[in-house]
Amino acid sequence: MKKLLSGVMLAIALGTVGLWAMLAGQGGFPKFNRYFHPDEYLAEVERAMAKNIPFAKELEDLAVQLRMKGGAREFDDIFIGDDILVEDIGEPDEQQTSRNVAALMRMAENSEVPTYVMLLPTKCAIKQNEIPQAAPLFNQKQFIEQTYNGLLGKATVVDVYPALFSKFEQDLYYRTAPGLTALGGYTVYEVLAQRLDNTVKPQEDFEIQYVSHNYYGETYQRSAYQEISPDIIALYRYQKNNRNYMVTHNGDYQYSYDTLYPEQLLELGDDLDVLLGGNTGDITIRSNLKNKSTLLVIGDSSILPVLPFLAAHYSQIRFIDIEKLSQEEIGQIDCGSYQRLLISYSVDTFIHDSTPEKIQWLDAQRPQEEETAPVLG
Amino acid sequence: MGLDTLTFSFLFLPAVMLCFYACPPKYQNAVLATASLLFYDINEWKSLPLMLASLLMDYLVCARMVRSAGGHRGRQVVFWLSVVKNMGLLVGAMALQQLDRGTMPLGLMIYTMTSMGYVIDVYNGDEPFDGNLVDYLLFASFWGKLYAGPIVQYSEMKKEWQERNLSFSHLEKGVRRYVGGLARLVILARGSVAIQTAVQQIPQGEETVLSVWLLIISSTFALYYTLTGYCSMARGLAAFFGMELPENFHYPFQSRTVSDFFNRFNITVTRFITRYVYIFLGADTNGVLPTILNTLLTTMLMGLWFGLRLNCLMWGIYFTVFILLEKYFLMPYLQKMPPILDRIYTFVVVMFSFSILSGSSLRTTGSYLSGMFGLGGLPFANNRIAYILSSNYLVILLCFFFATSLTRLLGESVRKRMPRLAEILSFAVCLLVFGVSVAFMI
Repeated sequence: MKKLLSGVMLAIALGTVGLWAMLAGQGGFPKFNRYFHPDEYLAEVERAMAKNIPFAKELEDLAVQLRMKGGAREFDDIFIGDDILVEDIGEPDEQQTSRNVAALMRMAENSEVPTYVMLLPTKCAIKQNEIPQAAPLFNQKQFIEQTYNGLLGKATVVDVYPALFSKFEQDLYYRTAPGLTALGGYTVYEVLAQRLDNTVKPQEDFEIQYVSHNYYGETYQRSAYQEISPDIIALYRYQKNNRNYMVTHNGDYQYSYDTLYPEQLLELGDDLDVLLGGNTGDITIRSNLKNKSTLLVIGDSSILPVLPFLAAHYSQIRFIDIEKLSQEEIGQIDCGSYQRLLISYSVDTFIHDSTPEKIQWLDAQRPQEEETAPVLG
Repeated sequence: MGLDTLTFSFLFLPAVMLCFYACPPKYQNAVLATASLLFYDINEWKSLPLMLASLLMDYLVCARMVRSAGGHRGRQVVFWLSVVKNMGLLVGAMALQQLDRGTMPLGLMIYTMTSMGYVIDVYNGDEPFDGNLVDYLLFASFWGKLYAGPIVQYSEMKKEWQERNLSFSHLEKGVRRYVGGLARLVILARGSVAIQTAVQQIPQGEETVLSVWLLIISSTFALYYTLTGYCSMARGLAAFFGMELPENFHYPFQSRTVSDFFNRFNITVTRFITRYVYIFLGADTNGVLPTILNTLLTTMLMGLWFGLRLNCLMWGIYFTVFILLEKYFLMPYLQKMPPILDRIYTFVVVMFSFSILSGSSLRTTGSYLSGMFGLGGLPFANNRIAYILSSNYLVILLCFFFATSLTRLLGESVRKRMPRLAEILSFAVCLLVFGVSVAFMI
C-alpha cells in the first residue's frame, strides 16, 4: 500500500486540478448534450478546462510573456505595440478585392449623383512605429492609390492616408479596438469636408467630453496579451449655432435619439455604441440646419466616428451599411434623392469582405429633380 | 482528447490512475485495457470497430496456430491470412490518406505492426501464446503508445506486468518522461509547426535561401519533437502503471554515422523492420548484392513508415546510399575523424534527407535543394524571413539545444556531485516545465 501512495497522491493532485475546473469554474461545465457531436463536446470541455483551470489567467499571461521573450510580437494577427494592440489585416483576398474594385468602378461610372469614394487605412498602416520593423505588411497606401487611379474621372476620391500618417504619433485609433477615435474621426473629417466642398470647422468649435476612461474594445477581447491600458472615449460636440440633432435608426423597429451621443448606452452594451447609438445598418441624422443639403453614406462602421463632424454641415445624412441589407432592400435605396453619395470602406473590409461588391445593386441612376440648395459650411 | 490536452492530463489520466491503484493487481491490466478502449472510443469512435476486429482476428489466428501446432498447412493458411490482412490494412489506410480519401485512424500503424509482429513470433515459436485476451488487447492498444510508438514485443510487456514496478523512483522517472514529452510536444513541436506554417505561407516569388533552410529545419524539428514528445509521454504513462517501455529515440542528431542514426532514430520501428524483414531476408550474410538489396528494402520500408509517397521511398534510398558507402568505404575514415566532424557530417546528411521527406513531390524536393544553395537566383534573405526568424529565434535555439544530450549530461554531472541538490533541482525543474507546458496548452 505504501508503494502505491506516491502514485495515488499524483493522481489526486492532477485530479484536483481537473475537478476544480469542473466544479468551481465560471459558467459551469459543459453538459453533454445528445445533439453535440462527441468531438464538439470534447472541444467544449477542453475550452472550459482552459478557462477554469486554477491560475488560468496567470498561466495564459505566462505563455504570452515567454513567447514575447522568444521574439514573438504578434498573436492571432494582433501586433503587440507599446501599450497598443494593432490588428494585422493580412494579405488581400485577390479575387474578392477584384470583384469589389469592379463593382465600385461600375457604380462610380453609372452614378448620376456626385459620388465620392474613400478608403480608410487601418491602424497597422498608420501606426507602423508600433509594429516590428521587419513585419511584412500589406501596402495599404499603394493599394489605395492604385484603386483611386482606376476611379479617376468617374468619382471624386478622398485620400486621407497622408493626413492620418502625418499624425501617426497621435491617438488616432483606439488602443484596444480597430476603429478611429474622435480625434482620428476629426482628422479624416478635415480632408473629407474639403473634398465635399465644405468649410472645415476648427477643432476649437467642438467641446470635448470624456465619457469613459476604462474602455476595452473588441481587439482586447480577443488578444492573448492583456497588459494594455484602457482607452478613453471622447465625444466632440459642435457648440455653435444652437445645433440640434435627431438620430433615427431605421431598422425593423424605428427609434430615435435627440443627440449624436446617446450616453445612456454607456451603461448597456459596448461603450462605443455611444456614437450615434451604434451601427444598426441604417441611420439618419437630421439637424436643424436650414440649407437642405443631404448626403448618403454607404459604408461600414469605420466611417461612424467621422459622421458627427459631417453632421455639422448637412441637414440630413443617411448612413447605410449594406452588409445588413438584402439585395431587394439595397435596390430600394433612393440614391437620387440625396445631393451627394459617399462610399466609404476601411481597407480591411474592402480587401476581404464581399459587402462592397453589393454596391452594384444600388440604383444611383435617377438625378434629383428638385433644385439643390448650396451647401453651407 | 489527445495526450497533449488538459482534459487528458487533469481528468482522464487521474481517473484511470485512481481506478488502477484501487484495483487488486490481477485486475489492473483489465483496468488499463478498458481505459485504452475508452480512450480510443473517445478519440476515434468510428475506427474502434476496425481496431477491435483486427486485433481479435489476430488473437484468434494465434489461438488457431497454437491449437493446430501439428497441422502445418492449417497454421500456414491462418498465418498468411493474418499477414495479408495486416499488410492490407497498413497499405490501404496509407493509400487512402495519400489520395485524400480519409485520414489515418489513430494508432493504426502501431497496433497493426505490434499485432502482426506478435502473430509472426507465435508462428515462429519465438513468443508464447497464453490466451489472455485482456493482456493481448492492452499489449496492442495501450493508449499511450498509439500515437508514435514505441512498438513493443509481447514478452517484453509480459515481463513488465509480472514485475510491475510501482516504486517512487520509477514513478518519478515516469513523471520526468511525461513532463519532458509534454513540453517537447506543446512547446517545441508546436513552435516548429508554427514556423513551418509561416514559411510555407510566404508568397511565391518572395522565397529566399534562408527561408528554404528554415523550412527544412523547422519540418525536421516538427517531426522529431512530435515523435519524441509522444514517445516520451508514452514511456512516462507506462511508468505510472508500473511498466517500462523501450526507448524509441536516443539523440539521433548526435549520431556519428548514418548507420548509427538508424540505431537512434525510431529505434523500435528499425528493430521491427530489421527483425522481420532484414534478418528474414538473410541480412548481410549472402554476399554484396543481396546485402545491398536487403539494406535498400529495409530503409525503403523505414521511409514508408512516414507515408505511402515517392518522397518517402526516396528518403529510404538516399539513406541506403550512405549506409552502404559507410559499410564498404567510409567507415575507416569516419572512425579516425574527430567526433565533432563526423557528427557534423551525419547531421548534414540527415538534414538534407529531410528536404526529401518534407517535399510533397520530387520536384518540390528539387526546388528545396536548389533553393538551399541559392540556385535559381534566390536572394539570401528578405524582410519576411527576417521577421519569422526574429519572432521565433528562441524556439529554434531550444530545438537545437534539446536535440543534444547536454541537459542529460548536465543533470548527471550535478547528480554525481550533489545528489541531494540534484533531487531538489530535478523536482523544481519538472514542476516548472509542467507549469509552462500547461500554460502553452491553455
